[in-house]
Amino acid sequence: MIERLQRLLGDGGAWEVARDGEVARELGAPRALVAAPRDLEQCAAVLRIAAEAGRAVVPWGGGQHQRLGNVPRADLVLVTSGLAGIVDHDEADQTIVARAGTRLADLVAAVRARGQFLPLDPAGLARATIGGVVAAGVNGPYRSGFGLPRDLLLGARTAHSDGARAACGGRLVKNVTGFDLHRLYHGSLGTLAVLGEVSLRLLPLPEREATLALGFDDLERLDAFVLAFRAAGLAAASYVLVHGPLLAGNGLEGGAAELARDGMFVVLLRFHGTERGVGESLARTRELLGRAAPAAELEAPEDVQAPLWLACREAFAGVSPDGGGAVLRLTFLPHAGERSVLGGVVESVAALVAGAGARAAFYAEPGLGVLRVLLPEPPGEELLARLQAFARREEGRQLVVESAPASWRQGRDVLLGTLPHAALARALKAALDPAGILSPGRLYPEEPR
Amino acid sequence: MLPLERLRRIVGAEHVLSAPEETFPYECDALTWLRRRPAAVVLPGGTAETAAVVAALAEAGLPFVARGAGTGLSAGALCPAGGVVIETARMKRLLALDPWNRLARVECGIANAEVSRAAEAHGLFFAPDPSSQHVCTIGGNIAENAGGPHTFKYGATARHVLALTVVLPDGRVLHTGSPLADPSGYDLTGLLVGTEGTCAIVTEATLKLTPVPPAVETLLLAFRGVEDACAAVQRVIASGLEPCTMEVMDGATIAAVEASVNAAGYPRDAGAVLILEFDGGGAAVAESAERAERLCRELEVLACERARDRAHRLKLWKGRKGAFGAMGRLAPDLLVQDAVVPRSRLAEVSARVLEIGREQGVRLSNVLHAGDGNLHPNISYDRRDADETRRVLEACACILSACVAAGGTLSGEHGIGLEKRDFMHLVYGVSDVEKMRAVRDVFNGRALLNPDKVLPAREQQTP
Repeated sequence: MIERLQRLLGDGGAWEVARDGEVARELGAPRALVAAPRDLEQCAAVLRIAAEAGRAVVPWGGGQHQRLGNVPRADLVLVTSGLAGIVDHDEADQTIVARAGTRLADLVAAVRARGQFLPLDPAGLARATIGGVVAAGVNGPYRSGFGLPRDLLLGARTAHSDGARAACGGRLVKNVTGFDLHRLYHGSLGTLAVLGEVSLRLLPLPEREATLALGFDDLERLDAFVLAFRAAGLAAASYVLVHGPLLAGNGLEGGAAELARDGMFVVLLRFHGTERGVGESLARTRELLGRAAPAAELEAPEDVQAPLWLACREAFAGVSPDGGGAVLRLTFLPHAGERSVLGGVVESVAALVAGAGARAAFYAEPGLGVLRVLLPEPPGEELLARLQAFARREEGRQLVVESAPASWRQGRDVLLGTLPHAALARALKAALDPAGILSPGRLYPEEPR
Repeated sequence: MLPLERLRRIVGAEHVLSAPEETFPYECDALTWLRRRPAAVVLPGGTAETAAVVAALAEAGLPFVARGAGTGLSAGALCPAGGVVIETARMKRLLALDPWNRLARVECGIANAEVSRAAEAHGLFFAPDPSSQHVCTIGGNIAENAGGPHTFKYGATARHVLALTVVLPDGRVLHTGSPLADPSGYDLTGLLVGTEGTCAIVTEATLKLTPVPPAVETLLLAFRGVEDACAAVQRVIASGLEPCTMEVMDGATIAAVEASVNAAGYPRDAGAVLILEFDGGGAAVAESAERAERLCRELEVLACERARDRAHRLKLWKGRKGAFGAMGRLAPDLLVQDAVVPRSRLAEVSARVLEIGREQGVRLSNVLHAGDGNLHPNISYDRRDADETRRVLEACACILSACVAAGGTLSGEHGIGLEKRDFMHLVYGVSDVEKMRAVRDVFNGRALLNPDKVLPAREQQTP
């Protein structure tokens, strides 16, 4: 196959990767070919060649989200680095069209330089590509305020395993022409099609940005705050909860060092808006701190905001610098009537982790009911079983292993039996990936062949 | 053969309509020139009955279509030949309201505005607000991925739907999505929203509710013409301000509105008015409105009015809300066209739209969701006049071509339905449509559910 690929892409366009390289580590595939098409047509041609050879293809952007889902069958890695660059940034319309391999960091910076704002800040932002982030369906601290890439996505161009290229949606902020297949591709982890180009809507860069850090050493007070903040109906650009020690260093000196002490849960709030609007949000939030008095409070100075959010965004890297750890994701309805359940969930999960002799840090989105358990090493079977039992104890909770090293995921279902509609999902995959070669097994297990 | 007896047993005899005088009201939706009388109309009382009805029809091999309030504007709910309409009018219960989690679970036949009314006591609302919101149903909104004036800030229906219960065209029931964040697997909910009832029939939905903003500021600005109004829109957006809605009405609309019961006191000498609204915190919206007013006053604005209170705001909106009704007074039929262009091309395309109206000799006015680049040219006509109808359709074709040529597309919120199906090739190539068809066939392989809509037949894909 490599000869055919090299004929198509040139000698530099396809190669075999080292056994100990990143691809091998992330995909658990000891031998794989890499192909680097330079446009969507080549992308489709690569897929056709792989389909004819019956080889499985894994699309690869920046390699930042390859640990999501199960370990796919992988014979060929299709890197999108050759499909990079902004196709069109229409400032007046606040839209941007970019090739899938464009680095998200470049995109964010280019947009910002023209006074606009792309509210995407997932972990791994520096290396991640826009195509990868859309395929993974992930966002970072901005998720609580602006949603997932899905909510910004206006259209896509894709390559399919029958060699076809297709477009859906467009570049208009309002569009109901045809089926919005881009919403299906979002979060499909490269199992349906290869994204070649995406279009996104943009926002104006806010005039003012402010960050408020509230440290709680008492989970009941944390819940009182979560409840009061919800009742106030305030809109925040970011609203997360992180373990204090993960923020240590980043300008939290003097009195603010208290926020980073062990046992401190820090609510980080970011407000965007006009000068007076942000001032109003800060003031109204402070009014809520009566019953929910935090142990420490800081309005982050200008130069501390960015490092704080960076530490927050890369919280997992803070826990697992070598990437050998795992992230478990527990989702739940954040409120049970007029009560916040976050504190109780955190307390229970922390007790289970400690009981299993493990260490963990927490990262939560209080408004959304998402708790991430950040583990410096993959969970033992016993811990996993206990957490699953905890998740099952009440209806409306779901636990999955969001991310873990390939060596640990190999042979497991990291989605822990939460995947619905297997037959329909397989039929959709067959419709869009007729050869069945795109990241097989990453979401739904392959049918025995 | 029509399994009338079986259908009656499922839903009760009184909920099966088959006499011509009963089925007559179902022969068209709000696009009145396309008509087809259904063989029968069935009104199931819930998901289980809908599933049983669908199973009976599928077994009989009869085509069928789901229909909400019939306010659709693209003939999306037009009955297939010899087919049956499944009307959702009896399924309009609010099943659960969870104000703390900001969720509402509803049956699909509930009216859009009814959801917001129920949520209002908890300081919440359902954000999509199509003009027909007092009657149009949530099921229809989901099918069409409906928008409205506030889509500019809050996004269309797809952003506000978390989970669905649907009946598949073979009668099986499927639950998609979850009120929880990040449900595992493919986003079937996101996929199904906007498929115009060609993949499944939505029977229940879990909706995301939004906090009612504490403050609203409304400005009404009058300009010499649409071009100036659009320039003001661009100016406001370029300044970084974030209005929640930007509605423009042209001179012909103003004249029709001011001559109707919905007269809102718009300046009659104005060639366009712009309603600009900000919502959010009190200080923020006051600041934004002041700035927007200053920016607009630097342009050639004929008049500027800022709502003093709720009553004043409703008065400023009255004309806009009544615009389609006012246009409808002018002739027996009204065709509300819907197309989108990049916002920066709105002024130019609006001028071209008026020109097309003159060329074809049709009575045309224009209402714009200007923030979204969404045009609604309204054409008043009499569909019994064959020549006038022909000119109206010709004008529509010209308008769509002009919009696509300007980088736009066929529909922003009304859908493709049957009306625009054969224009799809202006926007999509053969392989684009083939992928959409492949997905539709996964759900609706026998094409019994709402056939012939949205996706052009294979042989019609090239012009």
